[in-house]
Amino acid sequence: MIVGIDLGTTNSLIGTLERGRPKLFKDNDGSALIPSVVEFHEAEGIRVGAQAKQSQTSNIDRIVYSAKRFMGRGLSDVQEWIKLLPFNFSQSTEQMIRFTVGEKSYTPMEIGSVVLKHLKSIAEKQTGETVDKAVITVPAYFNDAQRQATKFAGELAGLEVVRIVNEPTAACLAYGLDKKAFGNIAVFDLGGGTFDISILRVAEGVFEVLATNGNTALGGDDFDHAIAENLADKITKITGINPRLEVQSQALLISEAEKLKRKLSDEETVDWTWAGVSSAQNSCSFTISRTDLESWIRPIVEKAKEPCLQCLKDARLKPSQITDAILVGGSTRIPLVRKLVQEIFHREPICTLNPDEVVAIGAAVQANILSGQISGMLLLDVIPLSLGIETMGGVVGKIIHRNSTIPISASETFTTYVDGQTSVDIHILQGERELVKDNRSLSRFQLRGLPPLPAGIPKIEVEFIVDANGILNVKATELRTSTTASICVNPSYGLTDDEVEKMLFDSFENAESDFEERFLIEARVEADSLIRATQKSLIKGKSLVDSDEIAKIEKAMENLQASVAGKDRKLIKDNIEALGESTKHMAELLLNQAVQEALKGQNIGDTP
Amino acid sequence: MLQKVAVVALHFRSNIIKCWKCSKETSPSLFCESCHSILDYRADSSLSHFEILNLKESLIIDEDLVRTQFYELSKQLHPDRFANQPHPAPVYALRWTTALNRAYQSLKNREERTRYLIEKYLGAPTQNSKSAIPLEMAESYFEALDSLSEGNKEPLIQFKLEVEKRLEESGKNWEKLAKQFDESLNKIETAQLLRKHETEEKYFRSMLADIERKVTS
Repeated sequence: MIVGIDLGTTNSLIGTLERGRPKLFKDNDGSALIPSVVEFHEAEGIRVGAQAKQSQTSNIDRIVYSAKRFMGRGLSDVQEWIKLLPFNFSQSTEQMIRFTVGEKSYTPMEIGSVVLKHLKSIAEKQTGETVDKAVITVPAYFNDAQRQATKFAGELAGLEVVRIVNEPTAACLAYGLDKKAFGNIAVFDLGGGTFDISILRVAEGVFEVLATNGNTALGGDDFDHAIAENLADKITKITGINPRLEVQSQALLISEAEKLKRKLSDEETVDWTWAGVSSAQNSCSFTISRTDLESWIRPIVEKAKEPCLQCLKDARLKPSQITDAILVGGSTRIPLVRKLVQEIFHREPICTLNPDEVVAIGAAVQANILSGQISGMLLLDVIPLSLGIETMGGVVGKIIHRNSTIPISASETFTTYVDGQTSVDIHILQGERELVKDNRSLSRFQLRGLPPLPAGIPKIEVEFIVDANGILNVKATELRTSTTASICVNPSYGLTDDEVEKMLFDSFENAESDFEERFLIEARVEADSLIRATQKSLIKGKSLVDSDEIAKIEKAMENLQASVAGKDRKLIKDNIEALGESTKHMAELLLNQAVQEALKGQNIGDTP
Repeated sequence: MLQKVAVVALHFRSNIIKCWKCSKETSPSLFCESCHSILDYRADSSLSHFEILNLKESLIIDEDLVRTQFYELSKQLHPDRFANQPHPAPVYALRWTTALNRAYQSLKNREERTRYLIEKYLGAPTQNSKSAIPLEMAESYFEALDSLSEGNKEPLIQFKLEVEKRLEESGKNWEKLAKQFDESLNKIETAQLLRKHETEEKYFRSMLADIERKVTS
């Protein structure tokens, strides 16, 4: 079975299309919004989702959340957030971050894969089918390394990631499924940790992304922290105790800030009380208005403006040419954010589909396009950032420009600048700036074995190939001698080969338990259908057998029902057999009766 | 509204080929004439970007038509359409689409289209063609910058108006040159005029962007 997955900073969702209609799978608590929180519980093992989130302020040392912010990033990229989040970090290689939990440490990809495995199991439990393929969404402004990391997380979770789709594009597809998108559509996507703006042209079933822009470090989390800072100042002023000094109360403050943000999206004022985490802390209360809150978060909201204007410019459109502005992501519920969107695009933004769910639905739509279930829709997406290589003087030679429709390839020819040079370093970069130091370094590799010729004579063709996932492959060829070197850029982002091997090995080890789980699912499905069939035949069979026999059957059904709730696959199988055995006599009698009725000219199919 | 355009067989330079699927002879196009399997895109077929989009080579072109052709061909050739088909159909679709996307990228707007056609006839720009900058403009620009450093913004704002005027003229000039290029039999000569024009315009554009940054900061 193929599914669509929205792997979010705060929440994740998994969905599919059922007879052309979107269906999102719900966790045990009845919610389709599954918190992207992982708890490494001392006694209970790994817990994911709502259960883990409950421990967010109590079991701080053993919780990891917002892992998406660290996907495909190095410590130097994330200095700002490290100060804000209560995690212990370590760094195994120059470019790789790890979350330390107790004795062990985990990469963001491993955390992501734990969340993905949980989502996978939810869908499998509910459908009884194996989920083996997935379309996973990423922020449109994710760079190559972040896309690779996400894809790798999917593979670690045992999923074939058939496509990485940009979140705003997916949202537009979801509106398209409802025939609610036509013309020039601006998708404003402000989630928990990332901001994207994409402008699409939708006509005749083609969804062409014209331009995209964004900020991979702007989202609801930032609002929470800004609100928490302001609350902390107020609390310090009134009680004389700074709540930021203690890890526990800092965590509580952030979670309270998030609740306050939600409340003030609906109400004008809130009477707010701070109780602290221990009785030693003084409590206090005060009134906060929406205007207060807006003044705290305005500088952050304003950061979304510039990317929108640039995106319009790149799409070669004026605000008046935009047909609709669609809101995506939980943070677009904030009235100040809506005001900004209205101001930029000169129209009331629309959000007729749930902004939390629309991306996952779009991923499911793309999954169905790829499986051939949907043929009237086609998505043409773009690469968000330009790709190039380092040339003389630390300048970037762009090879593929941003907003090019993917898949795409392009090549440029370069030459040597030293006589007799026999190898060249190819330094691959992503970004819009002129100078190497201002762009993201993706990878370096060497083309060796060049013939020793005078400078400027060799012709080195560098070919960039970007696939439909927005992931880059590079090939370099010396044209005179056909010397070739190629690289799939950063297949696992900054990990050493040993680390990759270990991670894959770990995932194989887990594969055994995955297998066990699959058998369990199958057994449960079989049990459920047997119980339903037995209940049905009992209605008719009751009059044919004595009460002892009925009691036996009911007991066997009860046993089976009880074992389905547990995890013992063998017990379920045994109980299935026992139930089958207990109904054998009744089934024979029922069959006889049916045959006799058929002989009387009645159709078996008519029996209730 | 978009107008639909029928996509006819592409004009390939080579002759009859054999279909990889049914082994029957077919003229090299997108799909086999007999079994309708997607055929391979051969990078060495040297189709121009116009030919790939099945358009007549022309600098002045209806951009809606470029897009319509691109959509129609994408619907037929995109790898998403072949995701479930056995090898090598998805690979062929990928090759076609990669070429198609490049062609669209280079023809969809005026600047890119001009650049493509100039390079088609003249090759990549040399150092010489890069430095064709109107001297008198550069001089007034530096004077305006000097005033700015002394705290006087006015000369730069005045100069900005002049640059904008030049750009507007340049736009009209492009139309004249483009028409000349399209009608000309000596493409190399007209392409040289176009290159000079484009270099100048690019210079004014980056100058304007630079001024805008300086005026606002």
